[in-house]
Amino acid sequence: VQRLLFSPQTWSGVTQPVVAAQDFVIQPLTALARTDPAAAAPLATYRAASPAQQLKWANAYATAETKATFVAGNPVVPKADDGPVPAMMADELTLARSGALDADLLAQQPFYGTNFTKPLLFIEDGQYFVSQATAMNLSGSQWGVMNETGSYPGQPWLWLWLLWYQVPGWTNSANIDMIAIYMTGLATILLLLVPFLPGLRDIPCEIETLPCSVATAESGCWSANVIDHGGRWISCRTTAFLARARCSRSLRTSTTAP
Amino acid sequence: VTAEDEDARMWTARVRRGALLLLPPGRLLPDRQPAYVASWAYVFGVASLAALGVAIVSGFALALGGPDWWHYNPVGHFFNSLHLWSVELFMALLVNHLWAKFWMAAWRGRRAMTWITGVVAFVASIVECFTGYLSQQNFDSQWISTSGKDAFNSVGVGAFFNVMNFGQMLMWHIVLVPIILVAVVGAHVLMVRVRGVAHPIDDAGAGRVRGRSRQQATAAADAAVWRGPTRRYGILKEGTIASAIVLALTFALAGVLSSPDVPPITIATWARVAPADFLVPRPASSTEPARPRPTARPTTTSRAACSGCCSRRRPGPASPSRSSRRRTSLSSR
Repeated sequence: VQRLLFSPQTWSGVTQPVVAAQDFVIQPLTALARTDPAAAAPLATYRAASPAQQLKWANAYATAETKATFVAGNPVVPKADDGPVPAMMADELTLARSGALDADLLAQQPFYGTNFTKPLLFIEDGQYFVSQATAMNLSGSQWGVMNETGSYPGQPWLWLWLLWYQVPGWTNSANIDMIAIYMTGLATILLLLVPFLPGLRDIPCEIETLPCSVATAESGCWSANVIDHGGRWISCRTTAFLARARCSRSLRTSTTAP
Repeated sequence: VTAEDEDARMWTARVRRGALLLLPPGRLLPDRQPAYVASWAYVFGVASLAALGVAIVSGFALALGGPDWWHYNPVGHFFNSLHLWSVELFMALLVNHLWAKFWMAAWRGRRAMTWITGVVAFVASIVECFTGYLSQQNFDSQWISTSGKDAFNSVGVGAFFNVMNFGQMLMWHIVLVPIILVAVVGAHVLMVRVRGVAHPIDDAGAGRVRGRSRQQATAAADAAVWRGPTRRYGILKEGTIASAIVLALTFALAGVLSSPDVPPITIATWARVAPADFLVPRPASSTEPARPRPTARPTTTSRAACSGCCSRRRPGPASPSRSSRRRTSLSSR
């Protein structure tokens, strides 16, 4: 949970409860067990065990699984005191390969459900998804969600939001998401209130008008504005800017000269 | 009290009088404008409106076939391409319009509300585009929703704005945000018509003048009706030409460049490509997802929106044999 003085995340509470073990493993295996007795037995054993025993099995399996191999596409996990867990995980893999896991996660909602939170969370939980996105230049260091698959422009207007994720010092902050949202919100409010903010609202006028008569005479911007408030306006402003720089330099020189 | 007096007191009559006073037909549909308006710098506003119109109409076409029509039907895909490029044009023109108005200090002369409605329309456009990308039902939608969810969750917004809920995002995209966007854009255009376009910044420089009386005089001049040279101005003709050009440009871009549609990843595909990932249990001793080293992208998962719902993605290189290990949990949190 992210926190900067306070944590609004905690105020809203849990609106979409998801329990990974139950929703992603036990529930799909329960559906499988209804028609597959071979899958029912290990699941029943696991359920009948105490939470301490379940934890012990899971820990033992976690160690053994690192040396797992595949024979003819089937996982072979070295023998360990892990009870029914290897069989359950093999069943989970079978479900996933067949597409039943996709269907089951979608089925955990009303018939006409349109909420893809569970399958998306499942897919997100691994490096496969990230590696696919990275291969398509969509990773965070590549300004993430601003981009789009293929050579398409994507959403460049999200640059301000993603900018904060690139700022050194903030990049690794535990609260980077909050920082990004707050800074983007602050910048948006500033943009909204430009007409009322002295300094910010004066920028165009400061640049538009020139500080000395020499520059004004050189640029002739006033007449350009009246005649053509666009077109020539840009070239006029460029001229004015350069004239202003020359003017400032000459003023400095004349001030410092003996 | 006569019947006419009674009529004049009706709410309807009062609103009509007020509307006519505020926006007489000559101001709503003017045939003359200040001479300085005849410039390319003023084209971006009307061009943005034209692009918005094309985006809305192409969206109507997509709605006819339904949300997944464009994935399997070439005609649907073309309309999606039209929709995409009209939106890209709309945003590009809108940003140019915003910048042009900033450098003109277009809020001068009691035009602050014009500026504010414009900025609100800009923000609403960004939300509209974002929800559109989330409603595409392809890899982009998957990636953007899973990447962006943590940012919304971190500030509590994710509790009522779930970017992984396709139905909710689609409804926001085609109903809620468009209504707000069109209403705000409408208000913005009416504000422009009521106040007129801002005058050029004069030599005195509205922001640089010193002295209260001088400032007041400048502000009054900015707010006054333009007394300088004017020229004939066909607002409807300009709008029609802008629409035709934007439409032609959109067709050209859609026809030549099409639009991307990388299919979404499924669990089945993943399991076939990297089966070892599905054997990995979540560390049983852990009751809370370990904090990853945050990446330069929103990737973390909020418990507010999904109570302990998932292990967090861990950045960094994976071993070749287990390129995408996942941590399926068998221990309840």
